[in-house]
Amino acid sequence: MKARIPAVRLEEPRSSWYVDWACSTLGRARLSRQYPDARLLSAHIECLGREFHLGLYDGLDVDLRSGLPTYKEWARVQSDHQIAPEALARLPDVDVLVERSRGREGSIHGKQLLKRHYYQSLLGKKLQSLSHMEVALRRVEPEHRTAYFHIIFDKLDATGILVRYSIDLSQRSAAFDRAIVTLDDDEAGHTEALRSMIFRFTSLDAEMTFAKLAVIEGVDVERVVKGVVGPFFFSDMDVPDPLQQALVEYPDGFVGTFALDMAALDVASDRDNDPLSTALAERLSPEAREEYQRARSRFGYKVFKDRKFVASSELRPCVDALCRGAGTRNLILIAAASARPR
Amino acid sequence: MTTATGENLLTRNVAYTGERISVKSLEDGIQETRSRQNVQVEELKGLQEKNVKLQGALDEEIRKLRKLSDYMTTSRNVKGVVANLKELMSYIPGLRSLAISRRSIEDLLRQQYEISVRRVKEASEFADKLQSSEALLHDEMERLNEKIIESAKNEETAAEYVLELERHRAELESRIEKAAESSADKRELQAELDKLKRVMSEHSTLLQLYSTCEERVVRLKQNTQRLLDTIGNLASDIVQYVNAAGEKLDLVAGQIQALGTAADASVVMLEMKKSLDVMTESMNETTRFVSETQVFFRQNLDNLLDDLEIYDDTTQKVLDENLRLSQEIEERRISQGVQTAIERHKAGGGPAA
Repeated sequence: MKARIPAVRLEEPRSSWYVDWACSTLGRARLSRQYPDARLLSAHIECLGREFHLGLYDGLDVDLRSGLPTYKEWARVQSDHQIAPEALARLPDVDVLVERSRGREGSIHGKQLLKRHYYQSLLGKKLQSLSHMEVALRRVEPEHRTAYFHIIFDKLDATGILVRYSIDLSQRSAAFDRAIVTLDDDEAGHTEALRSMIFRFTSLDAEMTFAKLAVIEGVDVERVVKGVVGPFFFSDMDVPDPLQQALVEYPDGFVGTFALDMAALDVASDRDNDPLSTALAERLSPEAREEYQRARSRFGYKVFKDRKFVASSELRPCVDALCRGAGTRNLILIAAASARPR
Repeated sequence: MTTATGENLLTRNVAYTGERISVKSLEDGIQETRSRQNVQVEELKGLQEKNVKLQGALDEEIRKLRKLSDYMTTSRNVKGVVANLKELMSYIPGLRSLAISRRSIEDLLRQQYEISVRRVKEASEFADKLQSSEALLHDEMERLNEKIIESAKNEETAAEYVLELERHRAELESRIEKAAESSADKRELQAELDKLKRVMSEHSTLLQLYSTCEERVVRLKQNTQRLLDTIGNLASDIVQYVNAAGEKLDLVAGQIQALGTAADASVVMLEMKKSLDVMTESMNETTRFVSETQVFFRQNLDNLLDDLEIYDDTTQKVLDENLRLSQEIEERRISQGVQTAIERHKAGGGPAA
């Protein structure tokens, strides 16, 4: 097993170019609540840019599997955000630092001045959580002794993409001694067992998650939606054809992809509209696939997969070709070009 | 009528650099530098306190990591590891009752990694603070050196001028002796000698003040140099430690992400052990530094404070001695003047004007 993930370090001006594109792509994607929050993601990525950290860090490491920043980068901003209030309280005032660093920008006082500005800007930011679960009570049916919950779980997945699981399920009161969701005076919460379970499922698809949850006694699953941000494609990465060829021709091109994978009882029919998906079921052995089919019949859910794209204008025809080649019809939005040199 | 040499010499605008020195300005200047040193020592005390807090936090992290790593070493199979890890979950907030599985190990590692990153960041901020203090002390050393050089130059200027005055005084006294008694020439030479004495007195005082100033600032500088050495050593050490810890954590981040995608249980366990070992090593780097600096602080800070207190007394004594000598010189000068006046009166030369 490789102990490290494949990554590339983007140096200036490439790292600023990347941050501009990633933020612009997220802004254009018009993501619904079934995806990780685009504003938080965009704010988090913006903090990784040189314009924000003012050159306090060298370069930007990007995961070549997802085209998104590596775990180390996401965690760095998160820890800076956490220590910012205390760090600011310990740093001298701006006026003092300006005076001390006058004519000596590269000195430690100059660095502290930059840090003061950086931490101050961070204070006002709301960032993407790298692992966070929320449970909300939707309704209670006393006559059936059943409570209905909506679960949201955001995670930076081990594969480098950002995932949001939205799960609608109900739990009968008889099962509360083995509960995955807790209810205390209308305050809903998750058990650590649920968190652990969902944490493990993030690399699986919505269908398998549905099946895994549905076999838990006392739990009825209505819907599992997995909204995914990534992968983002640009010329440093191995990308599917015909994008690969196009990125050779247009090395400034950028494509963001946003997948939605849903397994639900109210989906009319199975449909795969994701040109990049390789359904987990297709990778299974014939026996396992049969098991999958039995689960579909038993729980009565249908699966819908979709993916939308945000591409730089010159890459739009290639994305079109990619979708046509896969027999899918996808929403392709055009991102505003970065004016920055690459 | 003043002699040509006297006219030239006594009206000369002597080029001293910097602000005009006086007993008061000298005392104020020394006190100002002493105050700055006190602030610097207070800052050191603050750093010592921060160091103690960091040490506590890092010790706790090391304890957790060591225990986790020990469990990984002693557990023979995945089930054993999982069973043992249940107890360990209590160390990490929010994971108390987590059902352990291969993938929740990733969760555990990520939470521990994020805490470790925060700790190393705090140590890094501490390093910046030390480097800033070091830079400020270098600035202070520059200021003191400028003051020493300025005082030394002014001392030389004053000495040359006083010697020149002394030579002219000898010449005037010789001419006065040769001049006819009560003659106008003698009166004029005498008047010039009086004027010379006044100028000489003024510049002799300056000579003495510049000399004292130089000597005392040199002694102040020695203390600042000690503070600078203390801070400089610490800053240099912590930067090395923080860099080493940071590199190790970078390695861990990659391993954790890779671990999350691993399918085979035995490989996962092996990788987890590796990540924990590197994370422990990283925390060890930082903890070792903090421990060493605490010893350093304990050994140096108290001595430094003692020395500064001793120096306070010495400074005070020098100031008192200077004031006493100044008063004596002034009294002697007055007494000499009175004596001259009496002698002149006895000789019938009229009162000294």
